[in-house]
Amino acid sequence: MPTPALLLLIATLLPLASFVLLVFLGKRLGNPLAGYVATIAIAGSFACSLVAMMLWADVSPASKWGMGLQPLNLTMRWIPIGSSAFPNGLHQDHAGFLDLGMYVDSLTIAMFSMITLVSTIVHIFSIGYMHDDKRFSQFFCYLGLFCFSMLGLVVGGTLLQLFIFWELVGLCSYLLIGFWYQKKSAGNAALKAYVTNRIGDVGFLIGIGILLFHVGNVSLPALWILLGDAGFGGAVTLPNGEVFTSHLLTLCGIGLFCGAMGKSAQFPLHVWLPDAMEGPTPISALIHAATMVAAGVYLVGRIFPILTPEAKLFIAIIGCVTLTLGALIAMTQRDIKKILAFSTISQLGFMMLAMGVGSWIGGLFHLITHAFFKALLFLGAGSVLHAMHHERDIARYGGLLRKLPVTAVCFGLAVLAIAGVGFGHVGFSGFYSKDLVLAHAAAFTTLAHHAGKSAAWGLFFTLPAAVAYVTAFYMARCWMLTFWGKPRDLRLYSKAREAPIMWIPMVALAVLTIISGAPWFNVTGLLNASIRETTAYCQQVNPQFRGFQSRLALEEPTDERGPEARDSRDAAPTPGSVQELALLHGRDLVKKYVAFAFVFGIGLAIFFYSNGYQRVRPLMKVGLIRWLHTWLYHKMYFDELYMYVFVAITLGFAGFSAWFDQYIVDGLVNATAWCTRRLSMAASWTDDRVVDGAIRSIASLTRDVGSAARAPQTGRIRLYVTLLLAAVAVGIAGAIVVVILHSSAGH
Amino acid sequence: MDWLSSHLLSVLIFLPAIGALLVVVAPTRNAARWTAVTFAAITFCLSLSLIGVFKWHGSPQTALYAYQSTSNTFGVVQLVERADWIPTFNIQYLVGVDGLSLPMVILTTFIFLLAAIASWKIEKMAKGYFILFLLLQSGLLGVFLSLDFFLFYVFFEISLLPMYFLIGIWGGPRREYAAIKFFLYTLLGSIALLIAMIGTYLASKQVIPGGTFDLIQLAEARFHLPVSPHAIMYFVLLLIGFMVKIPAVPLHTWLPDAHVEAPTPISMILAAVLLKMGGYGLFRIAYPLYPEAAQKLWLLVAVIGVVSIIYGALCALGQTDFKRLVAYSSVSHMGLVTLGAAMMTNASVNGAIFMMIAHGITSAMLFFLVGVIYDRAHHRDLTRLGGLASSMPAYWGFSIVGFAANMGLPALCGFVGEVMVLIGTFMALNGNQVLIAHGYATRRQIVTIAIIACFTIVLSAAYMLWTLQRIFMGPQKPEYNALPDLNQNELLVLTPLAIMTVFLGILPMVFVFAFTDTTVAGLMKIFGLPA
Repeated sequence: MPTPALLLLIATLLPLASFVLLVFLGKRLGNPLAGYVATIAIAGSFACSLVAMMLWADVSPASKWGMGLQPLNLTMRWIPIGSSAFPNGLHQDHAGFLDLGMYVDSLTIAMFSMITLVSTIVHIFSIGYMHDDKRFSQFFCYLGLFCFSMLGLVVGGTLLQLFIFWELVGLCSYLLIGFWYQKKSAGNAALKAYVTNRIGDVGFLIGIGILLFHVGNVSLPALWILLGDAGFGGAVTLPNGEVFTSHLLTLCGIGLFCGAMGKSAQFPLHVWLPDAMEGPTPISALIHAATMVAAGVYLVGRIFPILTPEAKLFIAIIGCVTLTLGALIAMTQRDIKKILAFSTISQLGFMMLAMGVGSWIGGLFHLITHAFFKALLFLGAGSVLHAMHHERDIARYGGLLRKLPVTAVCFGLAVLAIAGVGFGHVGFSGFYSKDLVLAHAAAFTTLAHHAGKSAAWGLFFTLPAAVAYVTAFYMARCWMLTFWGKPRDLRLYSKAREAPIMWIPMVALAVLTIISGAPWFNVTGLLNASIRETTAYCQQVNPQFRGFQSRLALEEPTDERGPEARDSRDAAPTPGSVQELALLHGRDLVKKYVAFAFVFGIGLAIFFYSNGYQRVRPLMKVGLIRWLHTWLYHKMYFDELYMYVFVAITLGFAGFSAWFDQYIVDGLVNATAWCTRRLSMAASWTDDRVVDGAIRSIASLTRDVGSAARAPQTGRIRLYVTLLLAAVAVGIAGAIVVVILHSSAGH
Repeated sequence: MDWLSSHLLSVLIFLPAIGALLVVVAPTRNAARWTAVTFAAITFCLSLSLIGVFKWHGSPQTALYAYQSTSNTFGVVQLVERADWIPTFNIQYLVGVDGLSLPMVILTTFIFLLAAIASWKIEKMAKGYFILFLLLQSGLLGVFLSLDFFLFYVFFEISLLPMYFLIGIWGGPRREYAAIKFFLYTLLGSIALLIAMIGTYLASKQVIPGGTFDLIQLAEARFHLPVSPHAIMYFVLLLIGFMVKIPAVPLHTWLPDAHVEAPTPISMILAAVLLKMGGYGLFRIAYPLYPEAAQKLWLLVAVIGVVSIIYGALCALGQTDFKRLVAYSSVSHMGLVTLGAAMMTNASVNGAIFMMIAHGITSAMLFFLVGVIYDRAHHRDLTRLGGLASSMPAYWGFSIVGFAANMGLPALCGFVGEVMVLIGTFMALNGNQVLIAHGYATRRQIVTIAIIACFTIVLSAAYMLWTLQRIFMGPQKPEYNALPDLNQNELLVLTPLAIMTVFLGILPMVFVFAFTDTTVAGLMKIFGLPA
């Protein structure tokens, strides 16, 4: 096994080892030893990932792997599906099997480093945050399982494996949301999260099913090679001559995306994420902000080459709706964690939009920068909650800057990052990634304009651009209300203390928040390398593979110069092509309209919230604003809608089924039994009167046998013997009928 | 030793019966218990030795659903013992094992061993209990090992009576009602089976001189060609016979009652092994003997499967009795077996067999978990339970494993069966697969069936996790504060089950597919497909 793959395998298995250890010895290790064990394990994972990254990035010409060279694809057979039933024309290592495996390219390595780094930081933070919890060791036990599942997901080389770990991270999320299960709300939130995710997973499963029946394999490289042309629209012909129609491909793409919608909390399955904030705050930081919820985006990134333009359009629309809805709701929330939750939903919408408009790099770049600054925001919130006795209502905060200076500064840096603060070419991490996404969205709308689509397509840029302003506003609002102004609850305020053990994790994340987007940090370089590697890998088999190339959903199947003219190994559009012009135009649009969004947003927030709620109170007297505020404050009433419509209908059906089963289906059975009994009584009466003594003596014999058998049983034994005899009689009669039938058929 | 290895299967079948005889002469209640557990353990070890003797290294390409021979084809049926029984009708004592029965046999002996341990607390007429218990095991092993239709039928019937008494005497308050309902229902199935058996025998006379009850020979002879009304009729009769056992909607209502009334160990056996007689019968008898009729009627079977899956899950969601809920979840999961059979693809059949094993493990575990709480709280009302996670942490841990396995969480056994049946259903869309290739199904029908079936994963998550929440989460209730956590005996039963859920989920190939793969490939050839 090549060294990087081996290292990643070790990195994946270390948290599993910690999980197993803590399951059996957790109680004995106790607080804080259990936390140290888990932290050491995940730190070991991080070290492994880091070494793997160094090996990977060290491009010596002799090495068989490394940036821009060969990705690693290791598979093992797992379950049989029939040996040669699905020849798809591709040489397969394990034909007739569904595989598990590892696929390692630069994206895998980048994700590994990010996940293990954030996890390590959150582990350290949790040792302090959870120190007075009775179930300290159990917490770290679950964390270990989560880290293992998440890493297993990222390293997965087949869709099936992705699905497996997808479900596992879901379970961990369930267990950790419901960690404080004594609270009813925590239990409800956990259940809601899991079931909502499962609804998305139905789509995932359907997508896998559709792919399987045509292709007979769901390993990612095989799918890329076979269906890599899907992105250009039209049907795809497999090497064995079978045709995969574009409708079916679109259906399959949307199905797989449904899974991503659940996990990444996209509209209309976004409702679980705000409730998930019932979990401990480090969990919100790690699972419900930085890693697991981003898995949906990661999935879309992995299946990107097989998405048809229509599927991408669907993704873009969902992303657009989600980012708008999340930002609007976040403006009005008072619970600090819910603000962050809706901000996460909105940012995930940005990533999905990026994927949908064809900006593979933009989406994944934003995923990584977002992971750092959102984790920091949550840890900051955790520090605030810790100081404020778990009071989550920002209306009772205020002026915490003096009490929690480090938290305030770190939180502030993250706010600047998510607001996209930057000037010219220098800025916080969010500045780079958000600009990239917006530029690609603008290019997309430009192309749509070229293609003569209606003005509505402009929304793919104007909505996210407007949301960039809103984002800066609501995040600055959150910071102002928490840390600025006068304290609004003096009792809480006077007791607030900052815990120094939480400083190190926050400062570490703050550094990453600042630098992770910078060009010299080279996340985009790594992502570009991933495209090159995957493309090169696929082109070994299918020289025509262009799955990642200039993939705007509206692109015509061929531009003027034909597909051959392009350098298919690079993600950037060909110089001089329509795509490039659109991209340049897009960048201009972003510079012109969005570059200073943060100034307006933050300025507005400072203006309104410099002294608590005082300046906004008059605004609330305006009817329309109050009405809007109420609507948004109640999360647009999605929870109520789902509760009283879908959940109520399902439970109603369930209750009805249970009733139907007990009284109708079973009632019929009992009625039949009753009728049979009456019939047999009538028969026995007739028997008594009609049949002669010889028969009667047999009957009395039967009765004797019956009373002999009655010893262990009382009551119905006679009935049952009668019925047994009747049944045998019917059987014999049936057999006779069969014999007659056959003898007649024989002639 | 030589004698043992050549009569291994017969020894396996009758060993528990010998144990039953010994229990009869056991002087004390404790002696009876120990005898039963010892015999269950020996039987289990003996069944494990089958793995060593079994030849499973054949390739699916050359595998044939036939007796092992010396030619270069790979007959999957092995360790055959044959003796004339009623020569007039060519009825034989014929037992043998293949990849279909081997996992069932091991499941049976495994569950019986655990159930014997779980029966330790039985005080009422313990001797009688263990006699019936061991007789039941003999009957079930006979069902899974016999290859002669008549012998199969005899064992099928034999297994019925002990179960009737075990529920009727050692059951809960409405035990007599439940027992007679179970008995009559199964008898209904038996009659259908009897008629189909005699009809099959008579029909076989046309191709085999003198006719035969030999199931392998009947499958190989393909006497049913072309599809005649008779073949359809016999297939439907077989279907009824086995659907009662599975149980499939609408023939399922005996199951919740039987489960609710049966004592815990009997519930475990009922769900884990007895229901498998139905699924096993489908794959051993109904499908190999009448594959064309099965293809013609695929939609009926598939719809029954899907209705069982969804309707069972909805009913489970609507229950407030813990045990009834688990019983309905059995209906839902066994619906997947029916669906897997209906689709007749390699993956779906493999998946259905796996599902039976996986369901055997998880349902036994769940029924045992129900028993644990019933022993302590003396009720199973979900609306009254709550907050148990704090007072019974070990119980909570095992419950998470059991519940997660039952709702199909990956890395646990439920997932593999569920996902393979669903994937296999989608695979039936392929033109190479039998339903499409023979023109019996349209793609639209299959897609509809498959998509509806997929929604089981939402419903199963909903009812399982909601139950978990209602039992364990929420504030601790004062009346359950003092409940003791799992004791040694209970840990002894739950630990092997939990370990098996994980092993089966992670290494399905090693534990099940290594055996079933070639047999299913052979069955596929019977169905009319090149491997």
